[in-house]
Amino acid sequence: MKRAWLLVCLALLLSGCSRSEPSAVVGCSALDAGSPIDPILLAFLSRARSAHHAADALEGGGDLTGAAGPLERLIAGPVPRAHGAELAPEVHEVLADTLARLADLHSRQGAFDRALDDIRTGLAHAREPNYFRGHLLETEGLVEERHAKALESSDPAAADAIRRRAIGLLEQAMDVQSAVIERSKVNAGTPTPGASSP
Amino acid sequence: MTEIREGNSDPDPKQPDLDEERRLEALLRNAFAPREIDPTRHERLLQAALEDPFAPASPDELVESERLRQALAGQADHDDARLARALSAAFSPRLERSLREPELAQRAPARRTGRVLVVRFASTAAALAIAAAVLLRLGNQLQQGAPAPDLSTLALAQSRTTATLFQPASAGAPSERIDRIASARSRELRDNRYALWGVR
Repeated sequence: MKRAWLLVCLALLLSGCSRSEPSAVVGCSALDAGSPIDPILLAFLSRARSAHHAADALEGGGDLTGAAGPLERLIAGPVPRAHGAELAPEVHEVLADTLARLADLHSRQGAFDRALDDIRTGLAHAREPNYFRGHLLETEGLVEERHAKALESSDPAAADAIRRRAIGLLEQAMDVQSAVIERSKVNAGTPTPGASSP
Repeated sequence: MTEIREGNSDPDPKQPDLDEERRLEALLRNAFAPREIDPTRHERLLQAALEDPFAPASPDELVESERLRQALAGQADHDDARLARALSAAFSPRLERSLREPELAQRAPARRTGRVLVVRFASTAAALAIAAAVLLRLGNQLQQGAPAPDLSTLALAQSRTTATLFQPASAGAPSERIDRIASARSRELRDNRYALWGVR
């Protein structure tokens, strides 16, 4: 009886030891996506939040030059870099959005060249066809619309050319945002791993 | 080698029965691939753990603490004292204390020593074989048949685009957008911390 028991155990042990092929390495997109959210990124976001709220307060009082100040300091200030080189996607997007706001503020003060520089820099931070790129194109169109109005009396031909450019930019913005809306319908119900709810 | 004789009148050494085997398998399975805790039970555990730590001791606690004190002084026995000694020995073993001599030789009759050793050896080997077989089988099953662990629940929230937070029609003002980005990432940083602390 005991010998049979031992044989059963031995058989079990040998079956457990049966060799199996190593499984293929499974890629982990969640881990490969980027760096984990860390306090340094949050420090930048906190700084950005403060800058935008300070700008709100100044803009609400009619001080457009003052409102641009905190936003310009945010752009010129330190930014966190993942692995010492790349900017995090959130940083790119906050900078792009801030530059769009700066372009708006500068164009409302008649500084159209400066506003277009802001847009150009912002577009370099928003290369993907997402909401932020669409918003920058929309803002560029609005900047050019203001620019055209400003030139209407002094240089009607230039104003007309700029107005046509504005229309082109606004249509580009509409195309980008249409794609954003369409993508959101497709992606509805398939949440990104680790994605937060708004 | 000494042969084990059948039909011996001596009591059989204790063999693990089926229930015990199942219990062992369940324990190994839980240790290897723990399942999510029931939310109600989790809530109860949290409530128990978050009781006021500065509340005055209850009469039961006073009695238990006195029993533990006596056990630690070597005057009584207490489960927690044994645990404390085991933890203490693991953290800082006291090598100057000699181990107790084994008492097997005094108990076993001289005539049967060889047989008893063989039987004990056989039963220990059997138990070890069962445990190893269960462990290896379980490992193979989990590698081959079981679904891969949900890495998204193990991974920390990653830095990524925030564009998914916004729709053109409802993006709001710039400061509202940065509010949403900051609060979403702030919540995720908190989640990451909980995950690193092992409480997510």
